[in-house]
Amino acid sequence: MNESKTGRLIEKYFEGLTTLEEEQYLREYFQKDTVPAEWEMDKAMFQFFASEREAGKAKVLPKKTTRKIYLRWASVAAAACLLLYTGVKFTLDNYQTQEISCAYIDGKTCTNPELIQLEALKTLESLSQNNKTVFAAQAEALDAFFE
Amino acid sequence: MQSERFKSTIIPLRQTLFRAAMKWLQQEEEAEDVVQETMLRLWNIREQLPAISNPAAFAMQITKNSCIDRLRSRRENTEADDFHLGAENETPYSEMEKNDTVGLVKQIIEHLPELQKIIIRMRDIEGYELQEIAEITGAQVSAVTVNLSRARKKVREQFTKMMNYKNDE
Repeated sequence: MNESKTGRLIEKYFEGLTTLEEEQYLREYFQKDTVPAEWEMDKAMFQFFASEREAGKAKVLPKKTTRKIYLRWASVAAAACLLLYTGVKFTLDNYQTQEISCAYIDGKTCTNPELIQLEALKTLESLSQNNKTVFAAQAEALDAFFE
Repeated sequence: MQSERFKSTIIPLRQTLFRAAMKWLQQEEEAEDVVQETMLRLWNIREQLPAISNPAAFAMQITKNSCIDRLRSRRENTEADDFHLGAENETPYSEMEKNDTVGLVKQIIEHLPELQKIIIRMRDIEGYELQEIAEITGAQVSAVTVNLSRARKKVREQFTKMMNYKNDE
């Protein structure tokens, strides 16, 4: 863009009639060290806006990176939770099956639930039969006493 | 607060705020400026607005404060217009380094009238379209253009004055 066109843009700028693109051009133009003397007084203003815009962008960026860091830590935490959960569940499941189906029959370890149940019923039955003979003996003794 | 919600809840307050500003300032142009200023101030804090229980009363309070500021500066200006300008030239600009011209621009913008300050910041730093600013304030684009132009010209004028003042020293 030549100087007369830039000059016209500057005039438009002070009337509030430039577009955002034209204003971007002017901010870039005034980053130069030397500008024609007639525009020397406008240099600081455009440089100020350019630096404020940069500062605004810089403020936005760290926000994004902190969000990324949070996400990274959140995924690590989620993975740890999942590991802990599966670990605990696995050991608990094993522990419970052992507890349910483990018994000692005649001094031997037995893990077959059906066999355990069968053995347990047998034991109960024999107990009740023993009781019956006890009761029968008591009854006999009582009869003998009253006779 | 989203811009649609802002437009549907805040902008309808415009007429009420304008009537109140007219009552206090008795001057149409200034009352219009106060309303635009109030709208832009509310826009800049739109994220916090849903937490305010009575936005209408809050907007009215901002309008009232702006009117009081204007009435106060009106009185000061009629009392000592030149003195006021002279005093501002002495401080705080003169405290700054001579070559810190960018910092000087920042100071000048800080001292602009509130509405001009908000508009020049929204346009030249935050990059709003004038149409957007007009929608937020409920004003015509031409009204925003006028205030933006005034702000930019005032910065240039004050800056030139300050630089000449320093070079004369």
